[in-house]
Amino acid sequence: MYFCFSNLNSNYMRTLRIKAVLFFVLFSLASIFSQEPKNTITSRGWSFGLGGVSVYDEYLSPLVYTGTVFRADYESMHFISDSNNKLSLQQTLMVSGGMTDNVAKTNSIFYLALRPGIGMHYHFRPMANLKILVGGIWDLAFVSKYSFNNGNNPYSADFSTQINASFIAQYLLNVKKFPIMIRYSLRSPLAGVMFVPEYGASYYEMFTLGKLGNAIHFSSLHNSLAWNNSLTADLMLKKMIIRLSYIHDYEKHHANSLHFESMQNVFSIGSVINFSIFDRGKRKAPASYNDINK
Amino acid sequence: MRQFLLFLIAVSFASCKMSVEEPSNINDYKTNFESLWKIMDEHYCYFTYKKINWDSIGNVYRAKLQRPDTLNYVQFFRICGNMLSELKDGHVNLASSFDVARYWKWYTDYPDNFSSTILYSDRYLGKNYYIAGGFQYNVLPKSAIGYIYYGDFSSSFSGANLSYAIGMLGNCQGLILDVRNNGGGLLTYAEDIAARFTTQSLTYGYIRHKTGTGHDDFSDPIAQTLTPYATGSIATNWVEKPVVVLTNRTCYSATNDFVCIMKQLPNVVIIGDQTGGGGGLPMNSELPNGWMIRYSACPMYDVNMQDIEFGISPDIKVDMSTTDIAKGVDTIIETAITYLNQHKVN
Repeated sequence: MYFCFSNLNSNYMRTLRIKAVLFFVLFSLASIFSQEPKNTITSRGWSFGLGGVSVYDEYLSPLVYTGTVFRADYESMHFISDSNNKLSLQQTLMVSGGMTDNVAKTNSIFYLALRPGIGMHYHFRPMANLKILVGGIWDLAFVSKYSFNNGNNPYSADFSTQINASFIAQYLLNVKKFPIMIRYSLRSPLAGVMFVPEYGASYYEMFTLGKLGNAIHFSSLHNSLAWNNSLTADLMLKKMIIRLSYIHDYEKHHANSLHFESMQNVFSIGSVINFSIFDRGKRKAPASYNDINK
Repeated sequence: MRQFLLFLIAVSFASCKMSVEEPSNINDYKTNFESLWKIMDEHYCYFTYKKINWDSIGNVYRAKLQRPDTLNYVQFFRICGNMLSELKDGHVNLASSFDVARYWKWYTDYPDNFSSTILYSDRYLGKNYYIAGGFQYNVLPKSAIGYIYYGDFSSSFSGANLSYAIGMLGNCQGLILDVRNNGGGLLTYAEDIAARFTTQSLTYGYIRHKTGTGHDDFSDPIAQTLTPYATGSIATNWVEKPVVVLTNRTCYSATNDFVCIMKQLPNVVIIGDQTGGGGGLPMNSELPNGWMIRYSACPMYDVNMQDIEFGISPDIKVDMSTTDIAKGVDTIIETAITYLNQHKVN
């Protein structure tokens, strides 16, 4: 004896198609801007980690859910040209997912997050071995949460696009001639747009009847706060670079009298590859080239 | 510079923690009671419509917790369940690992008006009926009247199931669509079935939702529109010949909504008892101890903005008589047959 929102109808499919097209356009733009210029070293790193996640979604439950999260991070960075060693382009991608439970272990919420981004940084070199990068990152964030016991409000999706302030400090440490690149990075959103359902709106109204209501909000520091911290150590071995990371992501936002919050603490391990296609594939190293790590 | 950076890193890592805290004792009775009362106070949609003083009800049941050390968890569950029963709402449930608190008087206080023994006798559906998805159907014996029984709006079906069921009864003079004892399910199924009985889009009702914690904080009504299946194709939509929808008090929730839709259609007549209601689209929440609470969240209305929480009246009110039941006769089906025979389309 219950209702349940159900099947994808034409309105929902239309919304989905718009999102897909938007996503495709944004990624196309990102790939165009991320073309590596010649004679520059690009640093690319993948890391995979495991940690804890806490989720609070007032649309789904008044309780905090906690659990284990698996996370993958990708990052690529290079200078924008072979003659410029102050301005760099960065691409990032974060994917994480996990199962969370309430304290009483009577219900679970499946959590999945995806956040691609692209940004630019200006490089300061205040002292030897220390580099400070300051810039901005534009990202898309899509967080999906599914509550297994809920009927007509089983699903919550956080969708937003934000301009973030980004700060990176990296220090080259030599421990008995063994180089370790220590890096701290902090990213925090300044302004953007986010999707938050109305206080008591059902997904039947939003996606079957196609009435989103007051679901799209301008987001800034007054209603959205996030700190994406990471501390990494790149161990520069003879033939490879191992990246060890501790990632601490915290995010909260509110709108329509609903509060949302999440936190991840993840330890991850991965590798970094520095490479360049000199002179557009001629494989002939020039006398000098622009190294992102210098 | 190094000290500044270390300070920044330390502060940024340490300053971020969840601002929402769980209660120290998730099984504390008073904590859970207050959580339940507050969830309902902020989310339940029928306080004003039903003239319920939730503050007063809260005080009455709060007083029963003055000596929590004398209660066990079953007794505490009963107190919470009894408080929720004051709402007189079949969509309100409290579910624990050991019991589900419910309100069933919306149908237990009324005649059954349904007998599966009679329905599956040779007089009506018999044993050799067809099954397509959740539909059981056949031509009624010694008649030119099609009969479809759909007993659960959670029972899935495809468009093909529905097309075949309606198509195989296409030569009949009239159709009986029996949704008695159907306690609800998916709203979209209600619309999918109703879409076969019209060739024109129409608004059949409205829905609102809470926009804040106040008892009367509601959105503007949102129109619910029925879009016909295969518009313009009368062959697959039953629009020219009469249809009778059979109802009783156990028609609840999505079934109530289905009857609300069908009542708008010109060739459809509702026969039987008033539906049980359940016009509030329910949502879920939970207490700190993990008990799940379901409540009516979004009130729904008919096309005249009349609330359908307490059910929909039939066009022709009929109860199954005890004399007929003793003879193996379903009075409601017989009334429908008589109606359809009197309204044959030439």
